[in-house]
Amino acid sequence: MPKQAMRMLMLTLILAIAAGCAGNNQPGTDTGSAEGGETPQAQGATKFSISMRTLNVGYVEKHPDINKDPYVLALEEKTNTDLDIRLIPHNEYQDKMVQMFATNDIPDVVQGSGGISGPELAGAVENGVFLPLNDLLEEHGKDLLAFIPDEAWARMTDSKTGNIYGIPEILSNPSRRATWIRTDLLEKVGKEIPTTVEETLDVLRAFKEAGVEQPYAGRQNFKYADTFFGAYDVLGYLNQFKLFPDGQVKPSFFDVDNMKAAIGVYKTMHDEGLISREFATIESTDFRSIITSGKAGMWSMNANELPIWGAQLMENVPDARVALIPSPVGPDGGGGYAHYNPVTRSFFINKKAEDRAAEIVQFFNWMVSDEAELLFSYGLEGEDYTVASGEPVFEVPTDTAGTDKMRYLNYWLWLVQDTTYNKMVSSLTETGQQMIDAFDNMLAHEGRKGIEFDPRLDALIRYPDLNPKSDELPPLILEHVLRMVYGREEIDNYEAVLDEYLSKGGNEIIEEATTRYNNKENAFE
Amino acid sequence: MVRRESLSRKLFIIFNYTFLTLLSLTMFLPFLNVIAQSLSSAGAIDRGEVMFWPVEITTQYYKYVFEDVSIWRAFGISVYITVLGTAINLAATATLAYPLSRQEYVGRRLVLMVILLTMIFSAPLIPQFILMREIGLVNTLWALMIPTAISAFNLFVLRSFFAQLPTELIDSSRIDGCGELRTLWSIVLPLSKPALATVGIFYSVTNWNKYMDALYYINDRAKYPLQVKLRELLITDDLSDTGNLAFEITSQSVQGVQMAVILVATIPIIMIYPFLQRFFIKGMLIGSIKS
Repeated sequence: MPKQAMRMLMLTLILAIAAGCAGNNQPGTDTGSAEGGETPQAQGATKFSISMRTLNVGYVEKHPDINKDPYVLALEEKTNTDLDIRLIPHNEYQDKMVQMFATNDIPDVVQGSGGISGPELAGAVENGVFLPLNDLLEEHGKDLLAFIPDEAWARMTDSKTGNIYGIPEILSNPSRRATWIRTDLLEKVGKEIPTTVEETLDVLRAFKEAGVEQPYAGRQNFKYADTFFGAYDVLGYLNQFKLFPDGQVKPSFFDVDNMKAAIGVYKTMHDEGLISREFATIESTDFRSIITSGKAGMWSMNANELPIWGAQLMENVPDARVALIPSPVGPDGGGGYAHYNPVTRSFFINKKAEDRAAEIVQFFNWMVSDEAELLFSYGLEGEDYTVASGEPVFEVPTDTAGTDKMRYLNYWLWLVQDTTYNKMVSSLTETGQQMIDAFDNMLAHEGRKGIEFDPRLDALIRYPDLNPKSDELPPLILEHVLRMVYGREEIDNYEAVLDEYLSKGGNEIIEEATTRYNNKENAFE
Repeated sequence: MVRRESLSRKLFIIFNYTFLTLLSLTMFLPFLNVIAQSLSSAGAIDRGEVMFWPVEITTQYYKYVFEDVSIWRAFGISVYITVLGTAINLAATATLAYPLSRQEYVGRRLVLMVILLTMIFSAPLIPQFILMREIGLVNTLWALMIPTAISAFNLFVLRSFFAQLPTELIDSSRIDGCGELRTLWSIVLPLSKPALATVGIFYSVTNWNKYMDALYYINDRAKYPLQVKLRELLITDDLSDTGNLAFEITSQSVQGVQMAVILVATIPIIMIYPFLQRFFIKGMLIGSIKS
């Protein structure tokens, strides 16, 4: 009898557990929790889901529920929409996106990074997951068409069909990095701001004599330490293919004379101690520490970091003064750093959301309006800024919570904008105005650009050793360059390095590049 | 003879102590550095002045961490998964190990073979995800506890331990009229405390460190365990290259905050270990002495 009772008990337990677990089921991830507002939305508010990368923005990552955030609610109110924001973790963006597409778990609007053939989209555009937007833009997105320049639209267009598949967020000034220098040290050694490579080396030598630990801040793989490659126009990155006089399209490091000169400059700097002897092991955290603790005299960094890094540097070293200067020029009179992609984020509309596509395009169209600029620059009236005689009065916050919120509004929640800098906020501070001045008057005239292939050349994917990054040389070339700089290999050996490149698959790369360039097949200049 | 022995023995002891001390220092000192950094000012960290002792002591990072609700929620989720998850693990593993350890169980070999198979082959991500979704476990915390309820390795450990128990005990309990469940609960488990503790610790650590599963199955940020939150704070994506420069992260979170969060995440596990240590030792020894 006890055995029977035991069996019945077991059975009951199992059923109870099954029932209990079933109750815990969430109704799948498609519907999600769109109940962002208990406040009833206005009649006919367009509901749609949108996936967005967190971009490491603290405010977003710490938020308990972004759909209930007051700014998101304000946005919904102004555009008569009901958003269901789905956050994608920043570091695992690619994996999560691929998983999303593979399991057909696609929201109504998908945020991509860059053009239509990014790896995170996993071929979705080619497979017809998204709506072509040409007609919808003509009808509902006129402001978008006016605001966004042609080269950004070109990145969102399938060259074969002419269909525009997404709405891009743009970068109007492609020169994003600048050369920074410690003007207080410059004064101390009694030198002028250098313009050419030779003058720069003199200044660095003077810095070294004055006791600066790292006159030029070097960094691993020359990332953010490529000032002199830029001066000689031999950057060799993903978007630095060039049409050579022999009619072939090759990476810019095939310019032998200039490349040898650039390597020579770095070797001189290494031998004379103008760059740290261990620069090949300095990573980004140390790089930042070295600069903000005052140990470096000259370096390269994104121009829009001027207010932040500048403030930190002056906090650590009260006498320090820093300025953005025109990058040293090479023999052709030009200099600067690699140009960035004109498209930062892009938004694609799912075919399943066709019924609401018109309203969604209108939603993005609102993003380039003045009302949007005010909301995303300053925040909410009464809470973040006041209005005095018709003009908004805003004070730039300095505490961590305030700056977090600014970053969130200016940079994350504002979906379609010119991401060069935020004009309304930057013009309020002195360092901000310096930055605007640098962008408009200095950086706009420098920088190196070449031919870029998007999607990437097939040959590059086949030969990972020859595949450059967006801001690093291909591993094969990089290794030889580092050896030459450290004195383990002769710089005159460079022709042999190029031969090695060609024999290991470089010929195929050049052939494919030339063909695609001649056929104008997704080749951007 | 005796003197020579004791001299070489003394040398050996000295060498042993020195070597072990140095070895433990190499493990302990970096940790000391983390603690020091978490209490030092940002300027001192940047200048590289912080070694093993905090410079310019400040508690601002801990204040920041303690005020961050999302870190505490993640912490709570991790504790929940660890406690409940380990309980589920132990219950499931013990109830499967017990019949497999009895000779009289008819399907024993077949079941063991199937379990062995799962150790060798495992399903790729996408089919597994689709399965989870169809069952309805996606975006719930059960997805982190139920699919991995039984680890084949731990199962075998527990099974061998159970098999070692004298069959006379089991037989006598059956004669007394106990059913299998009662036997398991009253006889076998109390005798297996060391083994359960060992297996329990293995499971707890795995549960505490659960990261990949959470990333794939959970979409709701409020349900992220601590490890996912940690990774977001600590690791900036300098390594991968999506081909689009505009997303490069140029300002990372403050190093002091990172160190403070590391400590907050590691201290609980460090505190539990000493209490469970005696079970390890007992557990290791039990198998060595035949009764």
